Amino acid sequence: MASRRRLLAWLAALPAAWLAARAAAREGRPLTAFAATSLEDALRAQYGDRPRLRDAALRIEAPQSADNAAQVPLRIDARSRPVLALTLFAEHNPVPLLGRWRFGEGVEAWLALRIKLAASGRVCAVAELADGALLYAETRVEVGTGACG
Amino acid sequence: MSPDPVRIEARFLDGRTEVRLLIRHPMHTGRERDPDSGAPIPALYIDTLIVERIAADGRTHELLQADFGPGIARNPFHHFAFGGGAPGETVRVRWRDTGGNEASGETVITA
Repeated sequence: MASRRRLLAWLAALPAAWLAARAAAREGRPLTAFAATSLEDALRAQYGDRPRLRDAALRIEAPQSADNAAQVPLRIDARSRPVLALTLFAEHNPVPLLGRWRFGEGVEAWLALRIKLAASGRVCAVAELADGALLYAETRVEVGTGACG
Repeated sequence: MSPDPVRIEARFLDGRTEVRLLIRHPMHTGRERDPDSGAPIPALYIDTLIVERIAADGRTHELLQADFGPGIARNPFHHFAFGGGAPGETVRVRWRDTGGNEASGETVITA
């Protein structure tokens, strides 16, 4: 009987453990994408072959030419689309993945921040929507002397 | 490194709250050199940032949870907004860096 009770307790605990593991996998730090050294590898590490739609709803506002490569202002705006998470990439930084931001409930679908750019090139954003779709946008930023990214 | 203060401003207007935060942190990428000695400066950057709202009923709501790489600018700045909030509620920021340092700061939402 004791072993049966243990088995039942184990079975009862299983869904909770499975959910926790799944949540951990979903919410963990994107280590593989941070380890990538090219933009393409970083995008593939994070999103595999999932289609990324270029959509005018997602915009990156950045200076065409940045005075200070160590402090480049960006504003990412998904125009009220239901964004769950946002990732940003800089094409020629030694670590192209700049970061990943998960948006809590009620947070508006935009974010302004400052980044470093190692060289002139593309800055890219992927917005992960609540329905599973991925929106993609990129813009080119020129810098004089690059900062280490 | 002693934990540095976090500057946060949270302002409520027309049913939404705008948050600006500034964290004092060198965000060393690991590729810089000391300008005087030429010695390499080891990597030390914030890798985890969490921003939460503590509502009037005491419940905590996560607003942003971010994983940073070394490409976020020195003294990280963020500006964002969320629907709701109310004057008197609290916005709290916590961060951790690659050296295991942690710090937090909070502010009360103003009208």
